[in-house]
Amino acid sequence: MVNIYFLIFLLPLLAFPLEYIIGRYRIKYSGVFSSLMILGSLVLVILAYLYLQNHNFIYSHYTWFYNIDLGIYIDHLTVIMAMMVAFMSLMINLFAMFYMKNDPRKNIYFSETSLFIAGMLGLVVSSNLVLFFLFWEIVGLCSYLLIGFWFFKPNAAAAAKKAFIVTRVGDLLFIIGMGVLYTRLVNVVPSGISPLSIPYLINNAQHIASAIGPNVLALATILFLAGAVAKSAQFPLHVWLPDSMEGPTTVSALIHAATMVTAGVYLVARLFPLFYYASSYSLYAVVIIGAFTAFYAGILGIVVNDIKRVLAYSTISQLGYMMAAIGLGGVIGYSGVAFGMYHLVVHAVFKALLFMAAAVILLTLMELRNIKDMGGLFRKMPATAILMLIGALTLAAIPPTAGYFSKGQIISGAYEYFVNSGNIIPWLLLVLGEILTAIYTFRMYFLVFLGKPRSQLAEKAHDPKLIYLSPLIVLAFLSLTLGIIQKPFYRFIDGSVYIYSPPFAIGVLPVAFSLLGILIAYGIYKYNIKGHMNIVKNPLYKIIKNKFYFDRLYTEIISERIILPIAYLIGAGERKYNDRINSMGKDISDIGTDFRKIETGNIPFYVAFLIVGMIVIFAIIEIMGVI
Amino acid sequence: MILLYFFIIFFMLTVLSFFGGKHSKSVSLVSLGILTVFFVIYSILDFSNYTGGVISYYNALLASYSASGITVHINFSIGLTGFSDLLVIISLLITMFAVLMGSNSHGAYFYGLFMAAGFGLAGLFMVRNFLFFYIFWEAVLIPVFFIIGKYGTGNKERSSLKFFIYTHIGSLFLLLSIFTLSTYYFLNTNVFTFQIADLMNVAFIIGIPPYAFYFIIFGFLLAFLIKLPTFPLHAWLPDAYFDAPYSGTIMLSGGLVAMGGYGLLGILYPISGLFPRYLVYFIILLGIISIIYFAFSALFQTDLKRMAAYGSAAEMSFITIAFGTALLSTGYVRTLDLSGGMYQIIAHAFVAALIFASLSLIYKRTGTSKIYELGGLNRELPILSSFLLVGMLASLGLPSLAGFIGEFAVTISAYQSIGLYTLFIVLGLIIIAAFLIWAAQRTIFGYFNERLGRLRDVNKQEFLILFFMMVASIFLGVYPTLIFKMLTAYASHLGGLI
Repeated sequence: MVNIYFLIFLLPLLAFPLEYIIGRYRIKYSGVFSSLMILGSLVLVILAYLYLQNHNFIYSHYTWFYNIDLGIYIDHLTVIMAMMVAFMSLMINLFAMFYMKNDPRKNIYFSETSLFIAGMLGLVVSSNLVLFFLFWEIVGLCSYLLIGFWFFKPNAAAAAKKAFIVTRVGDLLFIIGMGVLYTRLVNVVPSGISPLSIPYLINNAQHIASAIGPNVLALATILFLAGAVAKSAQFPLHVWLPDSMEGPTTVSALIHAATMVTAGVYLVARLFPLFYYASSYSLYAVVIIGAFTAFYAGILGIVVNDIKRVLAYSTISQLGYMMAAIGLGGVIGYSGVAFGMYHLVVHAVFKALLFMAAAVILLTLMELRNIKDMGGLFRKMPATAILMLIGALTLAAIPPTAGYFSKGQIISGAYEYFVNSGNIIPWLLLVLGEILTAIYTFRMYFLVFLGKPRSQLAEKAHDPKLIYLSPLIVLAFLSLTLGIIQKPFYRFIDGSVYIYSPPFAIGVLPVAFSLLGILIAYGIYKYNIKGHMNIVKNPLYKIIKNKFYFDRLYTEIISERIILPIAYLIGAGERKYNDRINSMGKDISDIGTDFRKIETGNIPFYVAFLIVGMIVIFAIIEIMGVI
Repeated sequence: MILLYFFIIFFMLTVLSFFGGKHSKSVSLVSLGILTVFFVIYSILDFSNYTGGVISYYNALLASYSASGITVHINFSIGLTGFSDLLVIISLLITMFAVLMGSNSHGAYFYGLFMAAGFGLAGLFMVRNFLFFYIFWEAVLIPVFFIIGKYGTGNKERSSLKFFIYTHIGSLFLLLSIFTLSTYYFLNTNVFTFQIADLMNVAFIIGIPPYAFYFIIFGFLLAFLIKLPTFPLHAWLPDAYFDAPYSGTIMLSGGLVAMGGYGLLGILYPISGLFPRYLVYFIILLGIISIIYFAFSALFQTDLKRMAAYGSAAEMSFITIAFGTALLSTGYVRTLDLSGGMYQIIAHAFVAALIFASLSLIYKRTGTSKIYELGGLNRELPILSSFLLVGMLASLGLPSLAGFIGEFAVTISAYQSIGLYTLFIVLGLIIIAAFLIWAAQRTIFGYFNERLGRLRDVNKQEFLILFFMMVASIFLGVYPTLIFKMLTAYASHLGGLI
């Protein structure tokens, strides 16, 4: 019998064609069907959650091809992730019905988001790495389609292309990682088990490490990490995420909160045992990449003036925190995964809240995204302002919001990491990231909401009807209250979690830093307001504004100076080669013309030629010894 | 026996289609439809318990001579392996697509040529005798030569001539190799025969002197690698693809390149365990160079059709790589590798057909296939551009579409034999993704080129054709096991000594 939990991803998948067809005939019902299907998935996930209260996992699989299988594997980690994805998608989808209501192609939007959500849910529950990869790519494809949803904007098409190609680089490294595991494990696995089956990999990680050697395993995990880095927009493959803001804002919310970027973190969390038993540098790479990204994206976020881009950098930075938390597992064990996953869930809630609040603002401002043209919106749209304030406070990890609990624990964990391993870098980067987070968040918040309106559109801004804000209100409520489930959450993921409480001074430091950051942000805001809007000529500012030239490294150096010239050389060479072949007929007739000169009509010449020729032939025969 | 009847009926229908007059398109379609249905049912029945090797074998002794201990056998024998059975189905379907995409204005001759090419392909995949193998190898060439030369565009005469001569050089070496092989067989056993089963026999080939063996594999490899095509033997490809009518391009990319793949994996593989190691490395190197070279060449193109032609060649490089890496792999990995290579041939046929068919319809509406003259097609042709996009995505190996399974299988197995050099394959894949996505951005998305005017999206008939191809691509990507089982059954019983 087919396991009912397959419907978790099959229901939204069903909505993919149906939304399109329904919308073709009755466009005003677009979004209803997909919301229902996502609700169905959510119900199923909750059923799975209840089932897992007294069971360890749900596992059901069939052969897909050869010794690769296809199936679902749901354990505690999965069910949390799936619940988050289904719930957030539902909220965003409901909100999108309001946000997209005037778009003539909204049926396409809803069918594509259904596929997007189906892809993400499938990724979360899949039981085999190859199936995981299939959904992983579907998610990538949908982000490509949705970022380019307003395809007539050249920026959108370019951003979509960039997102696809950058993540593709990671995906293909991921394939090699699977190759490493597959070719090494195919003779190790017991018969009947697929070498890339996730339950097998995570439950036998120690055995695998000893069978194929921790270094080979580390190679595989580093390649998986490369995939995760591209998908979760970690340094140095983070460049696609800020550009991906060209799509509809609800798409950004989906990508950032529920359906795309968390996939990379989830991959590392899912395969954590492999990372753990591989050579120690694999988890070290995770923690360093994560912590550095958290810090680095924070710096970039400070100088950006596009409201959505600020949020995008905050996502990159927060994903860095999650990645770092999992990486800490190298010392603190599976608790790192619990910390990371908790932050992932909390982040999804407040990031969706922030994006939807931004969507409300952009809707009334007609997609004017520069925060320097906003201002004074607190008076104009108080409800949105308060909702966004809750989101911003959670992002900046001010108690008693959920962000304080989730991020505080990661930073304490990093301190524990320092105590146990003597490596202070992760803690330092993460705790400094805290200041940066507060600065960029509140700089944006102050510029958007305080002061006087700085443009015509901002003058006319107003709140939408309260009913449209209801998804935001739910999320705001959750942002404030999710903190109380912190410890049960940790224990659900990792039964033996150890919650670290560092010395008081260290424990209070992040909060102090956040408050300090808010103060600094206020200072920057005042400075900006006093007419110093665009005058910063500081070279450091310039470097940061240019994103440390990483985008330019990729586009101007790698693609324009390396790839294109090579393509040009090869293409031109190919054309030459082709011409050469085309003129070969003429060459042959030229050779014929040359040979005609031998035909002199002179008999003694012919005889001499004959004799020489025969000598040569016999010599060859003699040498080869054929006869 | 049924296979023989199928063969004869196919031949008769091919002849008939030349006399179909103005109904010849329908005649060809109906005959191909019947043949396909018949063959599919036949192979479902026959291959339900397939465990490898040649089945439905039929052998007829056409001529024999025997005197003073010398025997000469000229046989006509047909049979199917799991691989060639699928290829026959593919060649039928591809011929059908090509005929469907053919313009209604062409006469009986046009459709007759396609039927002939389809018959040649099906025959090639069925015969188990080298003499007939060669005959069919050439028989495919001639109709395609006329298709390009007579109905093509641009510099069609030159392209068709080039295509013919270029591939004919390969064929001649193939013939020489076959004769050398049978001569040595004669010297060893006093039996003169062309049976593939006898000649492609490791126990016999191991006794051939090395220089003769090298000559033989040189001939085979040359013919097959030209057909595939592999760098640097590809010069016929861009012009032939570009100047052929779109149905001809579908036939070329879906049907004809399968010949090379079949030659490598279906014919040559059993004896290639005897290849010296450096040759195997050389073949892998050629495969990797091909994928990168074709991908970069495609990136350079400004014409969608030409770009798709290079893209198709880059996809086919996976077969060369699979052939090479399988020789160095062992056990499960080798089976996966070979099956992946074979799967790639099948998947590529559909994907290429989908791409070229959508391009053909776009060309029909806009009158151009130049990338810079198109743009924003999604506005005017949303359905057609979705089909093109699916084709492109399938071609770059997006999971859940046809291209993925083969590329994935080959790439992951390659790690066993060539280690981290797999990165070069992946580099090729990245470039493939880059040029396809770049082309999509320029043609499907972005501003609409207003000079193209109002365009009409697909009509019902066109929609159904493209839809079927798309469904086939998705089906092959989502549910591969049906086909994969046959391929692995076949591949796990192939030889290979290294």
